[in-house]
Order: sequence, then structure tokens, then C-alpha cells
Amino acid sequence: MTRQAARIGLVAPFIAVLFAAALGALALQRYSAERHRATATAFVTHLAQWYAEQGPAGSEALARDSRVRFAAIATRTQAGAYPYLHDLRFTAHTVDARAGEVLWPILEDDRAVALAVTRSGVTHLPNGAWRAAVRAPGSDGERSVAVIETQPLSPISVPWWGLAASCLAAFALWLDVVRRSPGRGAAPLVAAALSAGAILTPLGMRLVAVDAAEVGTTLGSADLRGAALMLAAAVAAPLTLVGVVSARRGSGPSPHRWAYAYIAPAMVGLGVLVIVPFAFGVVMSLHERVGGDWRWVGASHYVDILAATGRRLWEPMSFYFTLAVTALWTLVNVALHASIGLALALLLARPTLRFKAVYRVLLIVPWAVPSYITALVWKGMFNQQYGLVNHLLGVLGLAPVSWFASFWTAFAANVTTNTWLGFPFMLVVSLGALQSIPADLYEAAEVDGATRWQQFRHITLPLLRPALVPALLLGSVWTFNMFNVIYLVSGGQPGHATDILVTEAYRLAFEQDRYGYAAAWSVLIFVVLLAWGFVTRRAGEDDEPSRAAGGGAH
Amino acid sequence: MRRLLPHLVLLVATVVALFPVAWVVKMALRSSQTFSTSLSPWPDEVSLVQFEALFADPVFWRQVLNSVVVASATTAVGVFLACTAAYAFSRYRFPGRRAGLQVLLVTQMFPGTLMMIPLYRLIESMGLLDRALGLVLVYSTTAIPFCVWQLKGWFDTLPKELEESAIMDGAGPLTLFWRIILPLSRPAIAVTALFSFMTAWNEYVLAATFMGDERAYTLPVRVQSYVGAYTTEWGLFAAGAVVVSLPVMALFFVLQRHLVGGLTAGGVKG
Amino acid sequence: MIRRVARALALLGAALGGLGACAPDARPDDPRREVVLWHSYRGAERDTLESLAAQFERRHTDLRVRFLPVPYDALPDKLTAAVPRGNGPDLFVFAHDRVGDWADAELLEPLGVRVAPRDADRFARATLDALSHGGELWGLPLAFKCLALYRHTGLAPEAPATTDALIAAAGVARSRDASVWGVAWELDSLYFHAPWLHGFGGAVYGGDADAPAFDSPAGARSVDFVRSLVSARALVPPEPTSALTTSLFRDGKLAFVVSGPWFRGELEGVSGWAVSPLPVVSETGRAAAPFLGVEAVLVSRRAREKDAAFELARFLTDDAAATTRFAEAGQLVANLSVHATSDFQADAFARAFAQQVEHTVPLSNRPHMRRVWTPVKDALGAAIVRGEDASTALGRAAQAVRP
Repeated sequence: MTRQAARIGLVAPFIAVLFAAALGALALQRYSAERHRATATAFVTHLAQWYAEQGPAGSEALARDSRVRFAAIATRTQAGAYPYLHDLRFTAHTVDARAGEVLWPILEDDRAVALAVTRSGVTHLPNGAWRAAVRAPGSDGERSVAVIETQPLSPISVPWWGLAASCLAAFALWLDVVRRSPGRGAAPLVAAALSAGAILTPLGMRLVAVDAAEVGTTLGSADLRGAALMLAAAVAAPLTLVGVVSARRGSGPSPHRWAYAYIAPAMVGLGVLVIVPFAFGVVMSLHERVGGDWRWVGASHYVDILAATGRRLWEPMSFYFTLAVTALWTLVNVALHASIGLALALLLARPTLRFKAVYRVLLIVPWAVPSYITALVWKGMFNQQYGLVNHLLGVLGLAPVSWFASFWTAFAANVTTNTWLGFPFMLVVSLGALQSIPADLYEAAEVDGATRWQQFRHITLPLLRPALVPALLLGSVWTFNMFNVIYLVSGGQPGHATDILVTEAYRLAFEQDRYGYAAAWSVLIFVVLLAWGFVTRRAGEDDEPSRAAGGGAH
Repeated sequence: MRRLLPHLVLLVATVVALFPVAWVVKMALRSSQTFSTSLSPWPDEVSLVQFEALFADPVFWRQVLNSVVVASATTAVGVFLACTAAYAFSRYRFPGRRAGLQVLLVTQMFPGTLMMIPLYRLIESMGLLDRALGLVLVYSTTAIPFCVWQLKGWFDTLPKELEESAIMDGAGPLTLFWRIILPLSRPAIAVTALFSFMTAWNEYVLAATFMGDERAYTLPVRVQSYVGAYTTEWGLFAAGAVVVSLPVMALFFVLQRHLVGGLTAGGVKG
Repeated sequence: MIRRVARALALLGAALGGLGACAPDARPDDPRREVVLWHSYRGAERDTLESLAAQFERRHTDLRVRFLPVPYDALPDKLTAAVPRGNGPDLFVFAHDRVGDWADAELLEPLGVRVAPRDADRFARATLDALSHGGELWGLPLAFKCLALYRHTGLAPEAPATTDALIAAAGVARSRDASVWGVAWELDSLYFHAPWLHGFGGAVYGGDADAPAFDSPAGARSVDFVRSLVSARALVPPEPTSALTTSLFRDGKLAFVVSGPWFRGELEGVSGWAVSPLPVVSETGRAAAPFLGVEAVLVSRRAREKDAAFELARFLTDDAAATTRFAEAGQLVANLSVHATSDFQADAFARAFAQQVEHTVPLSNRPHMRRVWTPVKDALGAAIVRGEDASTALGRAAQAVRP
């Protein structure tokens, strides 16, 4: 059984290793590009700053520097009556005495860089050259800028030989797997080499042909992505190693190998497209975006959120209040989904019911229509003046309600919409589970004189539990992060009170541009859900099949 | 009375379920772009102007094609990845199995809005911007966790004896997987496929962000573009919404038998 | 069997490869350089933009303009993600209120040196000021938007010159028929409250540009004024959302609406309405000054064809193009020479907004502006709708805005 089952997964590990190699290559390329950018930026900025300080006196030295294509100091004066329109002229230059005539054509393609007098700007030109503009001291009413353009700087050579070696190693590992040489194969060594290679190759890379010592580099925003990817690689490589080694531990081929092979494609996919972006998000949560740059702020976002800096602990937009609303939201929704879904399923499961199929088809319609469409319609139905809901209240002789003016009514409107969206899923789950309960159980109960309620309590519920519990767990997570309904129906009214954690995170990021803060907030959302996951872990495991196969561990 | 009560309850539930949808259809059949304020869900006029305007645009058909390609490819990739992983989680006991299952649940917990900018850079660095493949990869990995849980539940219910007796009959492991396990899992795979399809078919934020050409957009991006900064072209929006919803509804109706069995059989064991 | 699996995998791989190759149609045989423009225009505005681009292509035979319509909601996110990576457009059309932010994030190309003062003279000054930030110009104005006063001519034949006249006229309409409301706008929105805030002498931000100033006594008076319309005079329908306002006005159940040029689209097929500038606040004698929003064409800092992009931006905003945009798409263009044409003067709608532009406050284009909306919305909701004390509510909002 083991060996036969094993063969099924022959291809999977190879795919997994290729995926990993691709990820490694990606990381490497990003990292090297970022290093190049960081070093070159620092270099050219440094020169421009020096020139700005020296003024025209620096021209001669720069003209001799073989790395510099040209350097110039341009001065800007106000044009006309508009404080934001300018005229420009050169006050110093390296290229030629008739600077304007020679320099303008050079700068023509990218004049504005020279004009960004308010701040320094660095551009990477298509030919590989770098250009920086730095504010220089000028007289009153004028603003001057020093501009440096380098010769094209040689880009980093990516150590393709290292990648080739990694791929070879992967191939060797695969061969080893194919031959299934037990225990003593070269695979652990190869894997170790692979991991070490993944970590060490970037360190051995040749960096830009610029004297880094002269310029002095800082780990700034440009290194952020490189660092994040290095982090991912550094985590991924040992994990691969541990996985392979532990799979091979013990005597004989481990049965687990094939399990890992099977889950590898899905897990690698998740790793690259879900975990890596998430890791990047975590890095972002430790930074603050200032202009175009990311500035390191450490844990201060977390401190601000958890200490509710700037607001009371318990009011809308504080983390704790929003968390409580979210918990309530989740609880109420899941309870309603489950009870309505189950109740309708019980009705639909009656063997004598007519038009069963018609009802079933029509009742799942809310699931089939995209939620961003129906949420907008529901919002209209809760309109105070013209909405259907208030009209119905009027028919019943009740006063119209201003749904989004107070917390509980707005919350109720959200819950109604989400219940409408969510009950079909629970209906279908319950229906399937009900159908698989053998009818003879009920017959036997009937013979024993059990009432309907007793049958439900002692037969239906216990037998439904294994199907319902996982669905409820998943449903609770979905509801917790249900963005569309809150955002489109109540929009957080009144005053953010009905916002849940995810909608608040969205507002922080895209309405208030506090990306770093929003990232920290999102990480905390994740932590909360993770804790919830641990709490419910037991519930999930209770329902694992007790007699499932042992994976050929004979 | 005992016979009528269930029908009464079910009828009310059905009316509630259909009302908002009827409202959308009604707006799609109007000739004006304004929001309808009358109460009745019945169309007050039947005009196909909105649909004609939609169908007359060749770019619209290109976007239909994009949606179909992206959604079906997502389905194929998603089902493949989910099947293999679910089989392992169901049939093997290995270190990290529980953790793995929890990780699947945990990835559902990542707030999507946070992931957008990192995902953009990732997709860009893979050179997949403007390409359907980029969306396919993102969507299929998004759909994996649910699909794996669903399929794992189903595989758990398949009696081990079936496989054992097949092996006795000399079936190889691949025969086992292709000829025994997969055919028996058709309902669960149908549900998985439907779910993957819906994930890809209904998404618009990432599609609008990753695609740099109108001809590369998917349908929901188009529908959403009718919701403007100050005004919404409700007629075109509703018509687009109807067009977007129809295929999914059709799939639901075709697969509904499987849906009832496939979604739950997983959890139910004697 | 293994072969079958291999075949399936190969097929999958081939399909994925095909998808990867399935890029949008390239036009390799077109030697022209491409200028990419992103916008969220729909309908007539989009058609006009495209026909203007065709004119531009005829004039510059070496250039081709490629459009990408992006849903309005998705455009800022898409720009934030794409431009820093060099995947953005060469130029794009958007409201000016993010310009400062985008300039700081180095998404925009400064235009201060490219625009000559005599070219700048063609625009209403306020629309150009709205596009400046940090002593630099960041875009060219296409059109402007601001609030003005719509009235149902059957219910209110005269344009009120003062708020007292407005209250009187609304009261008359309401007293004739109890199902008719007097006046409406989105009460809890700062955008709609701003005319009154400014009219009472208040400001959103004070002298120190980063300190919120809306919690001043003037701010509280403006809130009290609106609350008196709602509660004491009962002129305002409950929960006046834009959808409700539209339907009431269409049905002849509302005498006045404060809204912007976009409201005209909602009034398709309705006659008997007119627009006039907002009234002067009787208490202070100052004109109610709404926010000015400018729709601008902005050049990307990472544009591949920067000069061509600027040429196109200049072409789209020159007087000839502005005349076309006004005539064909009904845009309220920022060009003064167009305002002076007889066609424009004959259009009472356009004329009213051109008059209103004289009394506007450009919406700040700096990021701090976006922190204000929500807290002030909450404060206005609390004070106007739920009757909380105005200065307490505004003070709380100011506290939340302060960094």
C-alpha cells in the first residue's frame, strides 16, 4: 500500500521544489534590484548634496569625476502673478560654458526633476543612469537646486549559476524520491545545501559598481521589500529542511512523505500568494508612510491601537469597541443563519412536501447573486422615507424608523441583510445532512413513542452536529470579515458605531491613508481570529473521522 | 392546516429571498438611469434599452470572454490543488496535519484589503499584470481553503474498504484515485468547482487594480464602473448585474442536486 | 496511468502558459508612440474625450492616445499601487482633492515650469489655485463642481437672495401643502454643510493650516442655523439622502435642493426647475460659499511620454477643447473665455454655477482634509439630527481630528 500510494505523488514534490526555486529566484531578483536602487540613490544624492553645499566651486571636481555625466545648479524664480509657476536658469554647471544650450536638451526629457526644488528627487533613467535633484541655498525669492546625472551604472549580475545549481539539486532530490532509496539517501544533504544556498547566495552577490563606503547606505524604504522577501526566504528554507529531514527520520521510508507531496502544491500556492503578502503586511505595520517613503516606527502603531491613543477605550473607532461590535455581529449572524437555515431545511426535508424542488431552487437565489449588488438594494429598502421596510411597518400600524440614525437599528439593518445573504448556505448544508439521516431511526423512535421534539433533540441534532460544526466555524470567520454588507448597507453609521474591524481597517488605509496603522490594525484582527481558531480547535477535531485511514502506516 | 403551514412559511421565505433580486430585474428593464422609488418589485415598464446598450459594445463581449476564461481557469486550478491537498488531509496522518488544517482556516482570516498592495507588487514582479493568469493564481489560492475543507469532509466519508478491495483486485494507486475516489466524489467536486467559479466570477477590486486595459477587465469591473462618483447609472448597473448573475444562477440550478449532497456529506458519518 | 497524469499536468501547464500569453491586444504594426490616459468618465463625457483625442492624434501624427476607463472607486487604489512601480498612465483625470497627497508621494509631475503665465490666465483663478501645493502646480483644470441652489419653479418662483428669503419661500411652499418639504441637502455631510460654515465666517482649518477651526463659535452658529431649519421650522424632510432628495424633487414635493451640477442628470424629463447661486447668510451678510472641486488632468511623474502627456493635457484644457467639452458633454469648464461666450451665457444652468464659482473655497488638496470628513459627519449627525449641543459635538470632532 505504502509504495503504491507513494507513486501517485511522484510529480507533486518536483512541482513543489520548482515552485520554491521560482520563489527563491524572485526573492533574489527583487533583493538585488533593491540593493542597486538603494546604493545608487544614496550615491547620487550624496553627490548632489555636496554640490549644493559647494556651489559653483564644486563644478571643477565633478567635471573630472568619471562617474558623473553632468552636474548643474539651476535657479528658479516666480513667473507672473502665480506663486506656483516658474522661470528657470543655470547658475553653475560642468558641461560647457554655454550651459543653457547644452544642458536644456539633455534635461529636456525629464526637466521636471530639476524643478522639484521643494524636495530632493531621484530618478532612474532608462539608460541605467541616475539623476538627483537637491535643494541648494539661494537668494531671497529664488530657489535653487543642484542636479547630478551619473553615467549609466552597471546593474547587478544575478548569480544565475547559483540558481542553476539549486535547480540541479532539486532535480537530484526528485530522482532520489523516484528511486525511493530509504533513509540513507543524499536528499537531506541536498536539501540542506539548497536552503543554505538560498540564504547565502544574495550575500555573495556583487553589488553596484559604486564605492558604498564613500556614500554610506541606510536601510531605508527601498530595502523594505528586499527585507520582507529575505525574511520569507529565511523562514521558508529551514522549514523545507525540517520538513524533508523529519520526513526521512526513522527507519525506512516515511509514509508522511507522500502526504507532504500531496499538500505541497496547494500549500506552496497559499504560501506565495497569501502568506508572503501577509508577511509584507506585517512588515508594513511596523512602518509609517511619509510622502513616498516608509519610515520605521517599530511597535508604536500597536501601542496606539491597544492603548486607544486619542480616544476613550470604549467608544466607536476604538479597537475594543469595534471588536465587541464585531463579536456581537458574528454571534448574531451565525445564530440566525444556522437557525433559519435549519428550520427551513427541516420543512423542506418532510417527505410529503410538494414543490420541494421549486422551493429549494428559489431559496438559494440570494447566494447566487453577487453581494455587492444586493447589498446596495437592501440599503435602499431601509430608506426611511421610501424603503420597503418602513412601508411594511406602516401597514402594521407602526411608526417609520430612521434605520441608520441609531446603533441598534443600523445594526439590525446590517444583520437582516447579512442573514438574507447567508441563510441559503446553512440551508443547503442542513438539507444535505438531514437527507443522509436514515429514515428507520425515526421509525424506531416512533415505535418507542417518542414525540417530534424528542426525535429532533435526540436524533436529528446529534446527527447534524458533525456537518454543522465545521460549517459554523467557517461561517463565523466569513462573517467576522464580511466587508461588503457593513460597508455598503450602514457604512458604519451612526458615527462608525456599526463598523466592524475590517471595514475600519479599510477606512484607515484607503480613506485616511494611514497604511501602516491600518496594517497593524489588520494584524491585530488576525491575532483575534487566530485566538478564536485555537478556542474552536477542539470543536473541529471532535468531528474528525475517527476511523479514517492511517495513510499506509501499516 | 398542518399541511398548509409549511407552505406558508416557505412561501414567505421565498418571497423575501426573491424580492431584492426582482428589484434589480425591474431596474434593468426600465429605460431610465434613475433609482426606482416605487415599492412594487414588478417591472413598471419592459424596455430592453439597457441591455441593448450593453450588448452593442464590442468591448463588453471581450469582457465576457475574459470573465469566462478567468473563472473557468480558476476552477480548473483550484479544483486540482484542492483535490490533492484534501486527499492527503483525509487519508494520511502526518505531523503538521492539524496545523495544516488550521492554517487553511487561518488564511481565511487575513483581511483582504491589507493584502492588496503587497499582492500587486508580487503579481507585478512575476510579470503577470494585465494577464488573466495573475488573476487566476490569486483567485484559485483564495478559494483553496474552503475547497480543501469541503473535499476533505467528503473523502472522509468514503469507506476505506472500497479502496482496500480495489487494491485486492490489483488496482494500482493511480487507478484508485482516478477510477474509484474521483468518480465517487463527483458531487463534492461539483460544489468545489462552483465555489471556485463564484470566487473568480464575482470579484472586482483586484481585477480593476491588476488590469491595465479595458479589454482585459472582467465583467464585475464593468458593472461597478456604472457606480460613479456623484451619480450611478442604475439602469446599466442593474442590467450588468443581471448579466453577471445569470451564469452563476444557471450553474446553481444545474448543480443544485449535487450541492445539497456535496456540501455536507463530508461531515456526516454513521 | 502515470502517462495520463502527466498528460493532464502538461495540459494544465499549457493552459496556464496560454493564459499567461493572453495579454491584451498589442498593436505591433503601429509605429506611433502611445500616450496612456486613465479616467472614470462615462457617457457623453467619455465620447467627447475620445473625439478630442482623435483631434489630437490628427495634429500629432506620431502619437496615439490609449484610454483606460477605471471605476471611480478603484482609481485611487489603482494609482497608488501602479504609479510607483512604473505601470501607471502617462496622465489621468481625477478630482483635485488628492493632489497634495499624490504630489508628496511623488506620483505627479510638477507643471510649474511648463505652464506659461499667459496660458494660466485662461482659467478661473480659483480652479488653478486648487491644483497648487507646496509652491508648485500639479495639474490643469478641466471642469469644476460646487454646490448651488436648485428650486422647483412651481413651488418657489423667485431665487432667494438671502437665507431669510430662502426660509420664507420654503415656509410658504410648505404651508400650502403639508406633504411638500421646504429645502433639503445631506445634513450630516461636511461637504453640504460647508456653504453655511463659510457663510457664518467659519473655516474647516484655521490660520495654522493643520489646526482644525470648525469648532469656532461661527461653526456652532452655522449648525444652530441648520438645526432651526430642521426642528423649529420643520422645513427639511427626515433623512434627506441624495436618493430621497431626488425623488421628492422629481415628484414636486420639495421646493429647494442644495446640490451640485451632477443633480441635473437626476432630473432627466423633469421641467419646472431652475438653479441659482446660494443665498447670502442674513446674519453675517456673507455669501454662503461651498467647496470648490476641480476635475483636473494630471501628468504622472513616471510617465513614459512625459512631453506628449503634457501636450495632451494642454490640448484638452485649451479654449477650443473647453468649448467642445461644454457644448457636447455639458461640462462646467474652467476656461474664462468659454464663460464669456453667448452659448454659455444663454445656458442659465451653467451661468448660475459660473456665478457661484466666485464665492467658493477650494477644497483642500492635502491629506489632512480626509481626516475631517468622518468626525465632522458624526458631529453634524449628533448636533443636527439628534439635537446635541453644537459646540460640544464640534469640539469633540476637532479633538478627533487633531493629530
